[in-house]
Amino acid sequence: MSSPEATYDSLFIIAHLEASLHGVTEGEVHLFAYLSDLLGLFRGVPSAEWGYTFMRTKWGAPFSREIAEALRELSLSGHVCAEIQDAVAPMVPTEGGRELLKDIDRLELCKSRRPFLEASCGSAAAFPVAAIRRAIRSEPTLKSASGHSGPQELLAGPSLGLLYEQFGALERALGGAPSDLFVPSSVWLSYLIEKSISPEPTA
Amino acid sequence: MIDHDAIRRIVHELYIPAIQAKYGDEGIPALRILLDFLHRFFERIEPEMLDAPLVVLHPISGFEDASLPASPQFAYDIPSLAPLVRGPCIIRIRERGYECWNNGPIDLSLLSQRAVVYCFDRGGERFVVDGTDHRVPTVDSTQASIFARPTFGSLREALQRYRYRVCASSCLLFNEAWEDSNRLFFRSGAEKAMRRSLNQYLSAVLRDAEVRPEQNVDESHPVDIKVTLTFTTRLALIEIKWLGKSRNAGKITASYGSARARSGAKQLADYLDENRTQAPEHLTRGYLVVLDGRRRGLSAESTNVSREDGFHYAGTEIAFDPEYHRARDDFEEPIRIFCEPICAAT
Repeated sequence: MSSPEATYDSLFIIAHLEASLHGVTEGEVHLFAYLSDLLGLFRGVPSAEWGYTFMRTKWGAPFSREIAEALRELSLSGHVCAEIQDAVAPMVPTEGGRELLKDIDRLELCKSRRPFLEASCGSAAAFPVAAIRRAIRSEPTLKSASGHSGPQELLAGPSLGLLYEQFGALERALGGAPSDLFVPSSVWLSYLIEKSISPEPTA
Repeated sequence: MIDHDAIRRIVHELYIPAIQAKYGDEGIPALRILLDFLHRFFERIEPEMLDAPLVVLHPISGFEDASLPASPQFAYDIPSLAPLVRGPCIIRIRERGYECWNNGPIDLSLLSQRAVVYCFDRGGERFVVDGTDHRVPTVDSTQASIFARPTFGSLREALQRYRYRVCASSCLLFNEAWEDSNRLFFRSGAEKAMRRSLNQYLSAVLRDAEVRPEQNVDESHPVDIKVTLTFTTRLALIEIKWLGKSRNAGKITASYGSARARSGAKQLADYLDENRTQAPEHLTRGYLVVLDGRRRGLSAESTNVSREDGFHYAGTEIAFDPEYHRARDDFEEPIRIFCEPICAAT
C-alpha cells in the first residue's frame, strides 16, 4: 500500500499538468513531487514530515519508491491511464481519478500540501520541463549525492545546510516571503539553471 | 557556495518578481493566464514562423481601453485567432476570446501601467513591466521561445522535427557550423557544433530520457550521441555525418559526398554490434543523421551560389549499400537533412 501523501501528490500533478504537457510521464511526476517537497522545505515543512522520501537515481534525477508504488496502484485501480508513445507512456487521470482527487482534496492533509504542489506545477508554465530537470540536478542535496555510486537519500545530511542557506539568500533578496510561492520558486529555478550553465565562481 | 549577487540580479531582472511587485495580488494570476495562452498559441503557430513582432497583453483592474487602437478583429479561440496573426500583431486576452490588431507600433510603456505585457520578436522575448523591459531567461538556444514546448515520446519523430530547425538554420548552435553567412561551406571541425546542437535539442524535447554526447561504446570509440530512456531498458546510439565542403582561410579542407554517409552507416552498425556485447541487457537502436550541405560547382573562392546549384542535392536521396535499415532490426532508416543555402537573387 502506497503512502496517502504520495497518492494525492501523484494524482494532483497528473491532473494539473496533463493539459499543458499532453499527459505526464513517470519521470515528470517524480520531478514535480520533489520540487513540491523542496518548496515545502522553503516554507518550513521538514522533509521528515513530507510523507515520503526521495533517492537520487544514477541519472541524477529524484526518484521516490512511494511515488512509483502510488502510480502503479492508481493505474491498477483505473484512476489514471497511460498512452504508450514509443518510449514513454504519459499518464492522464480518468473520470474516476478526477472524482477521487476532488474527494480527497477536501481532506486537511491534502489542503496543507496544495500550495507547494500548485507552485511546483506552476513552474512548468514558466520553464520547459527539461530546464526544470536541469535546475533540480544542481540543487545542493541532489548535487552532493552525485559523488556516490549507489542510490543516496535526498534532503538529508550536511548538504541540507547549503540548501537552507540558498533559501535564506532567496528570502532576503525577495525582501520577505511573497504570498505566492510561484515567485521564489521561479527565482530559485532561474538561479539553478544559470548555475548549471555557468561554472561555479571561485572563492 | 552561494552567489548572492546572482540571486539579487535575478530578482531584479526576472519578469515574475517584477510583475508581483508592480501589480500586487492581481499580477501573478494574470501572468498565469498569459503563460497558459502562450503555450497553446505556440502549439498552433511555431515561434520560428513569426517574422514580425508579437505583443500579448492581459489587462488588470484599472486598464484603460483607450490605450489600445480602435476596431480590433475578434477571435473566440486560438484556432480562429491563428489566421489573424499576420505581420506585427497585438493580442489582448479577454475573459472570453481574444482581440487582435495588425496595425504596427504601440506605446508599450503606457500599456504596461495596467496590463501584463509580453513581447516576442526574432531577437528574443521579454515582458514590459511599468515601462521597463524584464528578461525571460534563455535556457535553450535551440528554441526560439522558452514558452514553446515541442516534446516527443519518439526519438525518430524528434529527429524528423529537427530537420525544420536545421534546414533553415533557426538553431543558433547549428549556425556555428557554417563558415560563411550564405551557408555554402561548413567550418573545419563542424561536427562539434552539430553534435552540440542536436544534443541540446534532444535534451530539450525528449521526455524521460538522458542525452549524452560522445559516449564510448568500447574503450576507444565514441558514438556522437547516446540516449538512454530512463524508465525502460532501451538505448539509442546516434551517429552524425555531414556532407558538403568545409573551408578554412580560403582553402577547402574537406569534401564529403554520399560515400561518407555510407561509411557512417557501417560505423554505426559496428557500434551496435559492439554495444550488444558491452550492454547486453539493453535493447539498442541505431540512428544515422546525415546533415547534407552539398552545393553544386563550389570552388574555394565561392561566396554565393545560384538557386539551381544551391538546391541541386536537395531532393537527392542517398543509396545505402548495404541497407542496414532493411537487413537489421536494430537500425533505423537513415535521416538525411538538407541544410539550405542562402542563394544569390536571380
